[in-house]
Amino acid sequence: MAHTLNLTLRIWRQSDRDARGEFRTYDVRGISTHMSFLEMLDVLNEQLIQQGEEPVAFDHDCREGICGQCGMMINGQAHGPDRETTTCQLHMRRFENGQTITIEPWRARAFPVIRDLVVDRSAFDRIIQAGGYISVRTGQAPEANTLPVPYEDAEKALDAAACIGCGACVAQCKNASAMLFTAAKVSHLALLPQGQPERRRRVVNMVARMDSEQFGNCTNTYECEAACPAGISVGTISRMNREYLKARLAGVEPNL
Amino acid sequence: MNVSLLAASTSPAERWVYAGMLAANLVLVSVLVGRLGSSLAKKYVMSLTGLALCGFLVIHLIGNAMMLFGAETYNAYADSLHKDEAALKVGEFALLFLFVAHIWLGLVTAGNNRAARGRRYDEEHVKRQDRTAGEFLAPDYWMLVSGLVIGAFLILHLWDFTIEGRPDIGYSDKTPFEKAKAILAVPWTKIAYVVGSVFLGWHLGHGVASSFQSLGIGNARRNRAIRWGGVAFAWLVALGFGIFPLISAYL
Ligand code: FES
Repeated sequence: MAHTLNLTLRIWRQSDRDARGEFRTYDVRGISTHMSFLEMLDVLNEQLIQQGEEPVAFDHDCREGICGQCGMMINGQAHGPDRETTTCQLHMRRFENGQTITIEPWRARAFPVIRDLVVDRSAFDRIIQAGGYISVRTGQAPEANTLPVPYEDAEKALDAAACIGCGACVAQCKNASAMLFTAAKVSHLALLPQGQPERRRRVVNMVARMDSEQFGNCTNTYECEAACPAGISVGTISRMNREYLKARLAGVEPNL
Repeated sequence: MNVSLLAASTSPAERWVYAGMLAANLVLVSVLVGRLGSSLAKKYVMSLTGLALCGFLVIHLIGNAMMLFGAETYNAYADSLHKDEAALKVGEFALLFLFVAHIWLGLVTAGNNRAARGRRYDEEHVKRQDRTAGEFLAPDYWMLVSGLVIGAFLILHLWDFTIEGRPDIGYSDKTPFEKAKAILAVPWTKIAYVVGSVFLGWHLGHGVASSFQSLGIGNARRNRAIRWGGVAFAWLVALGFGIFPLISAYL
């Protein structure tokens, strides 16, 4: 097996929000199979800079799968072919020597492209603002055992809290729906005692915000779950559907 | 021979009643959809109407099964449906409502979903590992297409059996049993009914389980049962309805 790869990259280039954008093809040579996908792009960018061309813009920060910045479509799959893996964690050994790799930004009306592979995901921030918070009393830290949380609930809540907000669920969904993201946030807080005061208001407002950001509807195709680097389950979507129904039946109206 | 059966071919007046029902339902549903504030509410209505229609399919299939017991039983069943004409019309109105609401919402959400993507991907592949083979046949990617085919089939079916508008079938001198046999004896109709049944099964292969998820009934433990139950029901419907056009000549 070859330890270095020569690759052809087809990358979406778009100079700004309003530019038309197009695919451009680049060759990179001698890519180590131990490199991460982002390191491979770094090599490309070094090359482009040396040639006096604009480097490819892509979001990244932690490069260890926790910040959720590095999403891109790799050969038509969000974060590439691996399960529960972000682009920064994807190794080049997953690719073949001589392969062509198509790299596109997330595509959703709610996530406009800012430049090349970078999209504006502030729609997610606005969904969080609509209800992804709890009310706490200020003052001293409470005694640790004042709010007992059943083990099962704590586990489920933390599973949902693992969401890193990368947007792969939206990108991979054929409808560009943000249900998995929103459901993860709703589930996380609905399962914990700290989240109870705003429980109903939260789900109603977050869903209203999600809709107004013009994400698509959920068709229960479950591609989101398969693309999620944090392994969020579509069970959270079922929970949100339940929570929302209960809240609306209780007469809670959205109030953004 | 029951006289009422011989007179069962729909009169022009009755056709106007059906046209009125359809118009009323279109108005009703347009008002309802306008009042559904959120994407989730749309999905609830989609699911509830879908599941209710599945309930209707079960009753319909039981009705079909009467054919297996011979002309007498089937005609008696058909006649019993027409005992109370007013109640039947109410039932038909409700049924039409379910269809109109389901189809309307299907079209609305499909439009939203297309728009939500914006520019399409140049390359797009599934990530579900249980989907990598035969991904292009997965019913959830084809709900709009299968739904439209079923809708077209529904129009034909209603034209054949409810409106009784087929010029090639002499309705007026036939019992319900004879009508069904005559309609299903036409080769292209036979094919259309089998195709309709298959598409219906395909649609339900995703629709049933999906409805439970949209209504928030599923959870990790129940989901397997719901999924397989949905697929089993889909097969039952496809085979159950699809078999009659094939065996009608022997009944
Ligand atoms: S760069 Fe932080 S998750 Fe990839």
